[in-house]
Amino acid sequence: MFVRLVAALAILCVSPLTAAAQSGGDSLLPSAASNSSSQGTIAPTSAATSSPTAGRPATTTGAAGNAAQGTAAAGDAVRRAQNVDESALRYFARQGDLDRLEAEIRRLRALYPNWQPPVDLLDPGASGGPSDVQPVWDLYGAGRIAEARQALSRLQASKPGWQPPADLVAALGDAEARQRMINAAANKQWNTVLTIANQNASLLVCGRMDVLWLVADAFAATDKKTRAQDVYTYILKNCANPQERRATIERAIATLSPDMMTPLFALERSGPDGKGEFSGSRLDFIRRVVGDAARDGKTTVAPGDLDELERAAHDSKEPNDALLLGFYFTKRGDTTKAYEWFKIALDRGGGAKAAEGYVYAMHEAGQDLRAEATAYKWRDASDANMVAYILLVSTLLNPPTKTGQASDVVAATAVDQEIVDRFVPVVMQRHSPLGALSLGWYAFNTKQFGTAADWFQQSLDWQPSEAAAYGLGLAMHALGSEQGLQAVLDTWTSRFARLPGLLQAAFMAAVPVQTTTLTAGQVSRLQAQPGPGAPAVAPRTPMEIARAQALAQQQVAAGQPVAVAVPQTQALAMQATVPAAQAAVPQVAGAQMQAAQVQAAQLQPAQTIAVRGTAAPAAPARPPVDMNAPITAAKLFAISGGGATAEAPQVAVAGQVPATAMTTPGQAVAGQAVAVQAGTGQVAAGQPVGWVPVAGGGQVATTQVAAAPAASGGVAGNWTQTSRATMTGGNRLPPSSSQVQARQRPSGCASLINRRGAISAQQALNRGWCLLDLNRPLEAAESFGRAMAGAPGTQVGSDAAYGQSLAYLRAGLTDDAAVSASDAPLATSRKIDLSSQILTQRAVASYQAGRYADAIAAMEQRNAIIPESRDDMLLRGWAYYNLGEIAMAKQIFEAVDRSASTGDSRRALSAVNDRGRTRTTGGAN
Amino acid sequence: MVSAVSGLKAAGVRLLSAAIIAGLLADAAFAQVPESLLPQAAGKRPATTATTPAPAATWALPGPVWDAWRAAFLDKSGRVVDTANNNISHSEGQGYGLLLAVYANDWATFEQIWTFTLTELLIRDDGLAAWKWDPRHTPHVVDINNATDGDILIAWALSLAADQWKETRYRDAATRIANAIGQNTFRSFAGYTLILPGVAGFDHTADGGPMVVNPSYWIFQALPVLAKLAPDYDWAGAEKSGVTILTKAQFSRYRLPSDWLSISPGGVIEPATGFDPLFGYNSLRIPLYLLASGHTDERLLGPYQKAWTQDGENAPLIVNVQTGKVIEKLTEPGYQIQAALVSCALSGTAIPYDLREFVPTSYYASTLHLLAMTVLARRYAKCL
Repeated sequence: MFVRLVAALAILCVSPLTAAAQSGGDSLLPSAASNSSSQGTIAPTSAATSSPTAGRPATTTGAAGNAAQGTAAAGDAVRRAQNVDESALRYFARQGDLDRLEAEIRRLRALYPNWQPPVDLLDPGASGGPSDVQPVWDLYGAGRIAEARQALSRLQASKPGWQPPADLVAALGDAEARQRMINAAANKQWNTVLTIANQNASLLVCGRMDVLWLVADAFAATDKKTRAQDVYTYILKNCANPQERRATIERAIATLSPDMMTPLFALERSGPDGKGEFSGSRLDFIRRVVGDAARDGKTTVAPGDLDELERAAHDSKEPNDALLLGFYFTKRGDTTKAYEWFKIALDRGGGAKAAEGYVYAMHEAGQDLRAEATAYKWRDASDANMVAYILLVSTLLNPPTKTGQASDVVAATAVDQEIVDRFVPVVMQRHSPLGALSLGWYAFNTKQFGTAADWFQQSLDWQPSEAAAYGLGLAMHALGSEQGLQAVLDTWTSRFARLPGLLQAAFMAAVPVQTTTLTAGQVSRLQAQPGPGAPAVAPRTPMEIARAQALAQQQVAAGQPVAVAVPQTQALAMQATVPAAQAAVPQVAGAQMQAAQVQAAQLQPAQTIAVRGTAAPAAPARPPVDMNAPITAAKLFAISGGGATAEAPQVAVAGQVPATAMTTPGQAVAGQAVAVQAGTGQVAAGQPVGWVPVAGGGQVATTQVAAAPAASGGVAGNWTQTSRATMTGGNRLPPSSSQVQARQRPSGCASLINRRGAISAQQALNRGWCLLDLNRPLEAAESFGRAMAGAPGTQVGSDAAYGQSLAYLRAGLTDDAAVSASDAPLATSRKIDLSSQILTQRAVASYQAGRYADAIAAMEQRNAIIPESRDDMLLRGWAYYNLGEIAMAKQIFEAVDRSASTGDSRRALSAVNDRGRTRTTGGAN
Repeated sequence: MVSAVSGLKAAGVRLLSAAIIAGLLADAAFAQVPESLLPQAAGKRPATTATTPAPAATWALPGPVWDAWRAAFLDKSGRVVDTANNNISHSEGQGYGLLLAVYANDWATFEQIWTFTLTELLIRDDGLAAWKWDPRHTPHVVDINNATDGDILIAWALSLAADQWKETRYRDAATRIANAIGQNTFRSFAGYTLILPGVAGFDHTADGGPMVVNPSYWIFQALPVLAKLAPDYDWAGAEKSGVTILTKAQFSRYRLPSDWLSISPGGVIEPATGFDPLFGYNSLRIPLYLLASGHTDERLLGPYQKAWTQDGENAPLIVNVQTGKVIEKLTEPGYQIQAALVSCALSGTAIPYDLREFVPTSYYASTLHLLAMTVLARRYAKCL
């Protein structure tokens, strides 16, 4: 240190020109170089007159330069003659504070042009030892400014007429100003920051980098970005510390718009190795811009920048840059580059996000089949991955058509048995209405009408939709079941008013299809020239059907048993809804990517990826005969020329899309809305990787789906037989759960719910689950009650008691739930689950009713069973607070705040503290 | 120094009695007493006593008393610590500290407290002080809102200090704060000139609601001083409004104000909704502030005397002004002396000897104790 210091001094002594130039360069604010002249109250007259601009180093260089030739002895003489106070100089030298030492030398030179720095700066014995003000300097050096001020005024008071050294006063003033700036910035008082900076230009030097940064922050925060840019420019032009320069450019990147960065990067200096000092920062900067571009689609990336990032991504072993580029190209619509980058990211361990991006990009590129394995592998990584998988396979099963293209060409995609086999258990486990719906259409299109009916019914059970009801109607018709068709109409017409009309149109259309074979060309013409009242004629050619005959039996191994009581908060519910469009054109739901795309945007970062929904049967062309007349199944049968069974109307083709939808991609028009309702909005919560953009979304309502206990019960390892299933082509489809769960759910919920008369305990249990699924908890509770009464002491009874508790919880009747929970012997884990839920609900209810003591009692009981969550702790704290037990509340809030300080916990703490204050002193708040 | 101070508590009583008597002599004899007899000039505290002479005939806080207060509530950093409130600090405490340093003629300590106040609290864009500072939080300022009584105290103390020690720094800062108070907290409303308790959260008139004020934020003695620094604002009107409000806001059988008052557009004064309807710790200071500025009207002060001495003892009360129920009877000497001060002013009752002694208790009571002692010594020496 000593050597360095002496060297620095030597440089300063010999070459004041350099020093002056260094400090005097580019002033940031008026008189940024120095303001010491205004404070230099002790400047002797001679100095002041000989140097009228004292305080501006640049103007003193001539005189100082001459003086530099002088000897040390001459310097001593000057010092003695002018009584130069060198205490600060000696202090800075002893501290090794070179920046301030240099500044002080420059200042003294400006004040006393003939003065030379002493050579014995580090000699404590020189100048007669520590001066009176040394303790004050020491306090200053330790950052104890208040005590320094105190000591100084004591000194002043004890020596009448004595004035403290100006440099000490200035140093204290600077320290105070700096501290105020830091405190003001911490509280976002930006005008204060700027005011202080204006009044203390001596602070705006390279040696006070923190202050310069604060000033830049203040400019940026007050919408003066160009002034912030000025500050960064000043630093990069004048300041030498490499770490601070890099930190400066990084701050600039975070603060300024991309176009403002170019001139700053131009100030880059090269290191000894020839490498630019900002190369790393520059890459971060490009990442940010590319990230913005991937997010908003508006930001443009300079081609050179993109190349640079791609190079870096190629050279890297990390997945992040590849992932970022995947999202970027997705947004730009370059799906090939997108999936290539996602693939690289995936191979480098990019995880769920990379898999999701890859699946969507492949899907968009029409490479669904190739992506299926990846989609399946990652399906459980997050809800978003699950949605991607279900959408992908749904598309595979029922590919969309392209306008004017005969659907059978597209629909002929071969789907591996394996793909179907492993899709089914996932659909079952996740209770995916979209999955069930697409399986229904697949079955229907492959003439497995009975199976199709089951899947449509299952989809309806999980989430009623017009598309599923429509499919079920078609399937019943195809099965020749007039009764079944009537049941569909009876059950669903009240909810989906267009259902009869849609079915009617379908059956009418089916007749000519059977007699006239339209060529693809004809179809095209029909589409091009829609007749009056028939705006969109969709091709109705049946998809190619394999010639294999029906098998007598169908035995499909279920991939995995459906878990019992899967909490449904995470289940993905997908709903096909049909917006009203032209009255004459039945718009069949499901199907199309344009609609699903909107949801996809919500589900994963880049918004342009299109997701194809499930395919729905083509909309037949004829206007309905009489939309107003009540339509019965019998009438419908009459229209279609009787019950078609084996020769079922071949109306159902994959993914017919009304022309309007195709021409306006990206909008949910003409019956294309597939609303993906992510369970609790968790899907949207995908973790962004680094700077990977996350869709802001807002286009899609993420509906909170009420938590429904899994109603499926246990499913035996193998699918049971179905007598109705026929195998006509494609793959063998397992029946839906309504058949599978022969024991627990014999024939689907719809019929069970409407069942009149006596039912068995098992049926009552199933009915309870069904009703609970439909969010009819009071009826469910009643049904579970019947099951309990009918089968006391059995598994059914125990299950029913559990179900009833849940039903009461859903209905908010906690006390009834408690009774119910004690009614039947429950497995321990269920009991804990149930007890804690009951106690929690009771606590909340008590709290809301203002019975805080009861609330606390319930929470304490609950805490004996399960660990207390953060929210529960806060609630307990508030209960104490409301009881006036401030100390207790405070203790709890402090514990919560210690574990993780959030807005909630801080608000709580502030409430208890303020309450304390109001009592004793009374502040403004 | 520190160890000397810490030894004071035990020896406090004797020393302090002597000090009070010395102060009493100084005040009673006024011009006749040579300056050398004043405590601060007695040479007992060479380290902390500035030699800059205080203006003649001004009573000063005796050194030992002041040392005891500093030892109990002043941090080295210049922070006045509210010991009953999690050791937080606030602009009010800093203001009181500065004022007491002026009264003690202790320039060095004033510098110390001022440095903290300036660097830590005077950071608001509008030039007022952030009111709440908590050592346990980062950043330490936990509420950037101001508390106007704190601002008034700080500006007033700075102005006194500027005169006392001839420091233009102090006058400049006092002028800036006084103008900021006028600009940001004065409201002309319902015929009054009101002082908002804080810039944010008390003016509900934009929604047709009331103004909320705290009458104990009217530090009457300070207002004419600040008026000289910021003559553009209606300080005289504010003083007059404060007195009028106190004449009107007399609730319950005790005829006392609540700490927080709402004033409707029609000028109706009521206990403010959203606050406990208490005559509480805030309002304890009102008689002190009135008497310090020469307001001795029985209509203003009578209720306090009646309520606080009803059982024949000096016992300030916390009262629910809606029910008339007594919530608490205060026993700290710093509170009791407020009752004794009112009785002295209205009835000439002598201050009990035990209240003439100072032993630090809580920050708030102890501070009010010293302020009451100052008013007694300077205006009511007859009661000592």
